[in-house]
Amino acid sequence: MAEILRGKGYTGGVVEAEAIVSEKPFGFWQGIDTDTGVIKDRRHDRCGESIKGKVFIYPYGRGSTANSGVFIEAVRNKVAPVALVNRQTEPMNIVSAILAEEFFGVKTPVLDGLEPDPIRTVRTGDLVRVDGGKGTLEIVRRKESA
Amino acid sequence: MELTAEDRRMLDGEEGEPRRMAMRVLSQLGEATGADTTVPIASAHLVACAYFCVGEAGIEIFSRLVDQGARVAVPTTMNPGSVDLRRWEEQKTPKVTADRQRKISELVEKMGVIPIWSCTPYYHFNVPRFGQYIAWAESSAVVFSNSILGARTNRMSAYVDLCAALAGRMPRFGLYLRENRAGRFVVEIDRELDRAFETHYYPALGYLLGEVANERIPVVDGLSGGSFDQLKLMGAAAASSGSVAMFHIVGLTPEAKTREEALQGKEPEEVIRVGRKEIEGVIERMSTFSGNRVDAVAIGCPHASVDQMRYYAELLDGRKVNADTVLWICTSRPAEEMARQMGYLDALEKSGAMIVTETCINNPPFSEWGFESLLTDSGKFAYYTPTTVGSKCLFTSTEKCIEAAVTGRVDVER
Repeated sequence: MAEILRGKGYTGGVVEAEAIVSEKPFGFWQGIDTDTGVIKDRRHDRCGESIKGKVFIYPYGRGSTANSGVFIEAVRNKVAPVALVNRQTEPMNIVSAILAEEFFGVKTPVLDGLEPDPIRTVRTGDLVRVDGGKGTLEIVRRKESA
Repeated sequence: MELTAEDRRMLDGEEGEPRRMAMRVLSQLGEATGADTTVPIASAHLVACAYFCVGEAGIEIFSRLVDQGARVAVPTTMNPGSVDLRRWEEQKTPKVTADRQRKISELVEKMGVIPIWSCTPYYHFNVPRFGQYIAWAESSAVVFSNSILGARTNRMSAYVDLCAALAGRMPRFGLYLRENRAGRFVVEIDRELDRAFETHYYPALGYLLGEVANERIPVVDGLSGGSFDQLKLMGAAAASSGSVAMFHIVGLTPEAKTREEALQGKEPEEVIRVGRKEIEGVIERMSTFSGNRVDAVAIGCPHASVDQMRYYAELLDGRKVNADTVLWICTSRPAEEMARQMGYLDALEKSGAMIVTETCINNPPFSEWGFESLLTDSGKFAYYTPTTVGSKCLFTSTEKCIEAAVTGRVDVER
């Protein structure tokens, strides 16, 4: 039985990828290495891990107005996450996704307000399918425990 | 969101590809933020111009826009980039960074952007009047224009600022609407503290506002004065430690003739009292430094005014900066030019100070210097330099910063 979390989608697109889940707010400026997609913010709980090609689940965005510039550079270098799922998102994340499509033809679904809470429900390594148009996140396959 | 006839003309590509792209981005932003309509803006200020923000993607995007004939529709200024265009070698900036930043500069200027390369557009060439809609990025300039000038802007992000400049319009949401500009909580300043309110207390108070506000608008009550430069320092700190886009000071700022006006007649969510103990507490929290040796002194954040340059020269009073310490003064090219004409620049340079224009130490690559201990009078530098420069930081007064630059040492009073 597939588990489906439902909320609000702000930008369209359907992606299926591995999830990376964080308890901490995140800002792309000073937060991501735009050559590798690895998190470099030392205050972040996923520091040292890559968000490249992943569905990035975290509570909300923080920090600088430069965030969208850094996100677009990561998209150009093909190291950006493929979807952003927040408890509560903000205009800056939505704008980043709009710009990624406009400039590089890359669709990045941005979702928030999912029930049940994705930070409690989804685990890092789970395979998930995100539909921005429907505002849903489906857990396709749980990561096998070691 | 309802589009005007002009918006639709842009969206249909009748005003060229750059404006079609800009309006498509803005209309989607409008839908996402629940805006009712678009409004004309009087000016824009861009952060999408620093190499360390937009990178190679920026060069690709700007090249495409310039080829398509992009021109800004309203007076538009730009924030600092990632290099000092004339002193980059002396400042150990890698040549590749300087080259890429020059390329961005060339492209952005071709779009008709006024090249002030400064975080203080309100000092020169981009001064909005009360009540005007503007589209500014750079958090310290956003909080200044909303709070001190009473112009209206949201915190714009990179590229959206450029879209607004190209279209000359913005979806109306957030701080464009009067009801969203109401203060939500009150910070009361003790009378005894107000009577002896020193210059470096302004950024300290700002830092405290940022810590408690998150995104709420604070109302400061009981602060009886503040110059442009002091309020600039206060706002920059508040926008660093928190996401403060606006504050009111009762009796000083234009939308706060009274406490009731600042709160728009509502009850405050909380009232916080601030006296000397609270200010001293926040000054301690702003610092991560506990030694005596000072590697670097960094002042001029936001960019120093001509009057601040005069004061630095007076404090130095002909003395030399210590051989083991650097003194960096960040300012804009126009302020530097005025200071040169007035003789202050010559005095500063003779003392051994490094003048930094078109950029600031929060724009890497100043991390290349390997400073371990840095002193500043800026709440914004105090917040960011541990990450951007990688040094420990001590926040103190301008007077103590200059003394430490001369002696190479500081006594930490703890």
